[in-house]
Amino acid sequence: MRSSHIARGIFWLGLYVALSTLPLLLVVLTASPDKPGRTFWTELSVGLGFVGLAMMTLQFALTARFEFLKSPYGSDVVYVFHRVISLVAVAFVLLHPLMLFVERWDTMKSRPFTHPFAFWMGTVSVLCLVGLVVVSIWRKKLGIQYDGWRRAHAILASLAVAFAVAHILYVGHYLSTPGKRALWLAYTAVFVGLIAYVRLIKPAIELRRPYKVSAVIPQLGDAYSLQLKPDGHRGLRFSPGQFAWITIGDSPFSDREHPFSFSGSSESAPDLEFTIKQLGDFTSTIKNVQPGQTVYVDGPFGALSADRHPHAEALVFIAGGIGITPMVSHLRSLADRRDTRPLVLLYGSKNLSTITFRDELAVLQSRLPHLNLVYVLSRPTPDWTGEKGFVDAEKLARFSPKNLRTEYFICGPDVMMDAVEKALQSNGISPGDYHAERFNLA
Amino acid sequence: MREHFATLAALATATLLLLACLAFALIRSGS
Repeated sequence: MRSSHIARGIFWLGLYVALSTLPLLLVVLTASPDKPGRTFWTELSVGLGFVGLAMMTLQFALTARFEFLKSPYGSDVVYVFHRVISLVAVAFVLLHPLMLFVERWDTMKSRPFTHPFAFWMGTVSVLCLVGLVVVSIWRKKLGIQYDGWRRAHAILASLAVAFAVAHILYVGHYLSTPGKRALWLAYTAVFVGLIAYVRLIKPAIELRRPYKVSAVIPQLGDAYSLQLKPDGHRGLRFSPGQFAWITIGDSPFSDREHPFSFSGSSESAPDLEFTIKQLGDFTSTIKNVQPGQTVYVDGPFGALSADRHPHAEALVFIAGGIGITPMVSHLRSLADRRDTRPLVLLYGSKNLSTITFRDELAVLQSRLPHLNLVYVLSRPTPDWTGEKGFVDAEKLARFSPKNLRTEYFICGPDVMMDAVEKALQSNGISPGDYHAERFNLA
Repeated sequence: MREHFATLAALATATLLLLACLAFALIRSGS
């Protein structure tokens, strides 16, 4: 199972490198003898420009929510790759004009631009890219709301690629043959196709598959559970621990969607449940959602699921705060399946009154006789006799099942996940045996 | 931990792409 994920992971990475360098390969293979190469720095600059543009186009594929592409790694890993590689693409694209300016400084003084229109197209593309990087890295500092940022991000990214394609079409140095023109036409078609898929086709599919809110249930810890039923269709199937993007009170074309873990049992599908803590602008409106209201669901996504590790002999779930939702989904599903493996839930919370799903977990404990339910409270009342502080290496070692092939699942605030991952490593747990997925996508 | 792997994968990819650009420039310029 794991080796097939690694093989698929390497395959997609290899394909990424191949598609990014394909324009260069095509230029080299189809070079005509009557068009000799230029200086090293000019050719390097052009190479960086071509690869940078191919990478920019591929960014749309990375974020288009293709589950087959993300499942080997987990969505968060693909987003980290997207963020880091986008900075590399921007560096390549910026180096392209910089190298040309330095190389041609003397001739440019007398004859500034051989292709003025192409120059301006390229400049607009670069400005869009710089804008994209600025609003993405400093979104919170600039006070830009998540929804507005997503829209600006999509518009700036589309403009950057569109102007860059126009730029190379107008320069046209390496587009002399029909094959090369066809390649860039294909890249442009993929880029336009991906935008059409994400912005039009997917929302249209969602529109035909609406869900109705059947109940809104207040939970401890300032959270609400939203129960949904498919309205006129068969719904979707998911694995415990996965998540979906949901749109409430808006059209799926509005691009006002947010990712949340399923908190219900996978065996209760097509009925769905999401449990959402009031943390930001959108999540604070959940309490106002009324039964009967329409909700659109895009999913399932995510790799944080015990179903991906069927050979595990024991499962340890580590949750902090609202990170309990994928763990409750696991425990409900495992209870419905009458799973008999040893299970441990280490659940970090401030105090007893903030433990989301406390009553439900008591019920689940009675349904799962092999579940060891451990609350770890950071600010308990003086009468608390249970575990205090945080989930650390000592507690993990003490509560982990012994001599069994155990898989660990972690979900919670970033600080807590960092600490738990470090603690597991210090306990000698291999990174392949613990699994986490993070949701701070922007 | 997984984020470090993602960052490493991205940096390894970037290195490969940069090498491809250098090879392209060497081949095309004939140097």
